[in-house]
Amino acid sequence: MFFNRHQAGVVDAMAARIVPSEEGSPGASEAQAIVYIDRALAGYFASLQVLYREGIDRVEAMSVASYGKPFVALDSSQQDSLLQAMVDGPPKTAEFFAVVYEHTIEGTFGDPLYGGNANAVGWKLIGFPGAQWGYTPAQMAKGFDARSIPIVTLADVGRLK
Amino acid sequence: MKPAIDAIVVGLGAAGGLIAAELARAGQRVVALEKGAFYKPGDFDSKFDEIRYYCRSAIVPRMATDPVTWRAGENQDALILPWASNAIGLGNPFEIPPSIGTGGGTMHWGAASFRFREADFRMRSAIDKRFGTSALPEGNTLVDWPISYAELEPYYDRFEWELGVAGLPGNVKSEILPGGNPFEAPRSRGYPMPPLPRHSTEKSFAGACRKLGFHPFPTPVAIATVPYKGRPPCTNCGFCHGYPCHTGSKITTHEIIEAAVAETGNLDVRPHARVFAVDRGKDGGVKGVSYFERDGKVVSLEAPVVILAAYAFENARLLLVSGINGNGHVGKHLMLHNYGWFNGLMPEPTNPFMGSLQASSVIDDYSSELIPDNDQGVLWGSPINTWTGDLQPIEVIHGLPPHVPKWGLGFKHWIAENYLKLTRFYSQHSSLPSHAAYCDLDPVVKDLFGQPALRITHDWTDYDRRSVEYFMGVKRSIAREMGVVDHWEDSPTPHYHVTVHDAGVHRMGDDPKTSVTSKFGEVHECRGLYAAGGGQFPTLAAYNPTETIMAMAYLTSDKILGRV
Repeated sequence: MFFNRHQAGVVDAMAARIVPSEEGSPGASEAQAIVYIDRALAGYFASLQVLYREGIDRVEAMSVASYGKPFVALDSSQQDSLLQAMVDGPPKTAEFFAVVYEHTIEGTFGDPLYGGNANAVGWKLIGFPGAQWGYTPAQMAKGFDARSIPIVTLADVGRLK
Repeated sequence: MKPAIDAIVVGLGAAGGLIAAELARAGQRVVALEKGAFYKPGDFDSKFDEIRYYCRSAIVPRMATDPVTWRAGENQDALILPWASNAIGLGNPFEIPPSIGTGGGTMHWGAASFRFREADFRMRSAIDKRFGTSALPEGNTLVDWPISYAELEPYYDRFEWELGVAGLPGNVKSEILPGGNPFEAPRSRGYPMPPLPRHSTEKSFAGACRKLGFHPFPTPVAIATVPYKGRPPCTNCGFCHGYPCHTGSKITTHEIIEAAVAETGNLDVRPHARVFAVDRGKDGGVKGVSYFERDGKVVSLEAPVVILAAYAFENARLLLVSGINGNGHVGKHLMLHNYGWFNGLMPEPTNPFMGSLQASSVIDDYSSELIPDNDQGVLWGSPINTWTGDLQPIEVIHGLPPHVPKWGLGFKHWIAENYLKLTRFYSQHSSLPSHAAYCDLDPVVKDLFGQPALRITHDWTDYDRRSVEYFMGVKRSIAREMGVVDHWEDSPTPHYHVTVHDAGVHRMGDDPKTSVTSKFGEVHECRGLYAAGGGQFPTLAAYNPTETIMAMAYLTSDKILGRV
């Protein structure tokens, strides 16, 4: 909706280092945090479009300067080093990382209706059952296995009507 | 000639919503002006949405339209609240002024519903007597209240029974009852409803407290726990603080307003109306108010009575822009709560997203005047509250322990392993009123309509730090006894300087020379004008302020209606 293919690739790769994927354990990529961010930039966060355009260019410039290749072509430890350099870098660079970090968290652990947290993989990871109408006193008692509660999303809440 | 409008209420939050409904029910023709929306039934059916209400702070004021500025001290430039105006968005709804729209702060509150203690109404004399005046930090402006607990007790009772508060009484007419708070001020009767269903950590917390000699009691809440006057019981959904209630179990003045509009026919609610001036007549008394409609069109209304109830900050701003500050006390004596967050991990799952944050217990053993003698110079204590439910994932991730990486596999493994094991305590250390903490009009920053923003000047003091640290020590000992396996603490001088419990900036008192309003909220220097809410508090107790604000709103209503 907002990103071109290249920009989406860079941001997706950054998100994948913030919440990394492992075998049998999805991360931000499988959550499609990038879809959340793309939709947010086309809508609610439209005011941040310039910040993303410039930020992505900056990441690419840093990557080429340090490693001679674009960010997506780096191995994961090089990507981690580059992200850490952003955190420790000048204010604009640190700010871009902070924003991508925040949006990656939102796109991994927010409701799937916003485009991220696909198949509720973020919630499954931590054991949060989502948009529940409520819990019974028995569920609130000590020792209850919360992971046994089927996950509900806002789309499900809408369908109940 | 009879006026067309009997009273104008500005702001429909905790105080204004109640006052508007009370006046309308007594037959007055009331116009209520609300900066935000007039919510509709069904607006919050799918409110289980952390992105909308937490990350994007859907119902709180926006710094772009309602800027507030802050500086730590007089010689600094003020900035629009830096922790709430960065590229990420608004930030934690605890650190910005409360919700707007019908219901105001009662839309988002966690509904902890405490009375203040008897001594909280005479903090100055109690401290003078016990510690001596010289024990107080320099520059403080501490005073007693112009009203006593006994005078306000009937209004507390009215709030708890008319609207419905759930809890266990500990002191009914000086008889100490088992299970309740043995230290509470005497109440004329108990609560109309039993406490919320207990959260999984209740036994650990209460057991640890008893072992240490404390007296835990269930946190009183303004939440229906059984069907009460048409309100269904809470479903324990766990989207409570910062979220509107989807079942109407939590008390909100939104619903009180909605009912009063339907029942009386003489309450005219005008949403998206942004009041910018109190208008005065030739005699200096109130004449009415002027407001902007959404498109900037100016409307002026006249009425013999105007009640400002737009939160402490906005009340002060409106008084200042209207030139009502003859004695210089408007905006002064600003007091905030310092929450002293203490987070821990239990060895077993706690399921911290289930139920209200208030579904456990609290201790009052060291509250207010019960503070033990100490070497740290702490003069006034706080309860220690539990925060058991109502913790959604993104909010938790914003408060990671400092020793956990913020991103990468270390972060992922920690949150996957520990989200379900969280527990939390807090307290509410009140800053002391002083000459150093105040608000005034920002000389530079204006809102979208060209009106000056409010500027806050505040920094945490060494006294604040010592109070928070004293109670961190108590929290650590409770946590140890509970078997908490890891814990992390907020800074005793935190980054926020707005707390949703901001108070004191139009303090009440008997003497028009040293206070802004009477105990009824009447502004001394402008006949017919009232300023209601936490801005009236001469001192801030270490409890959630809303029940006291609403008890005082009943008192203000009775005064306007000639009942007192």
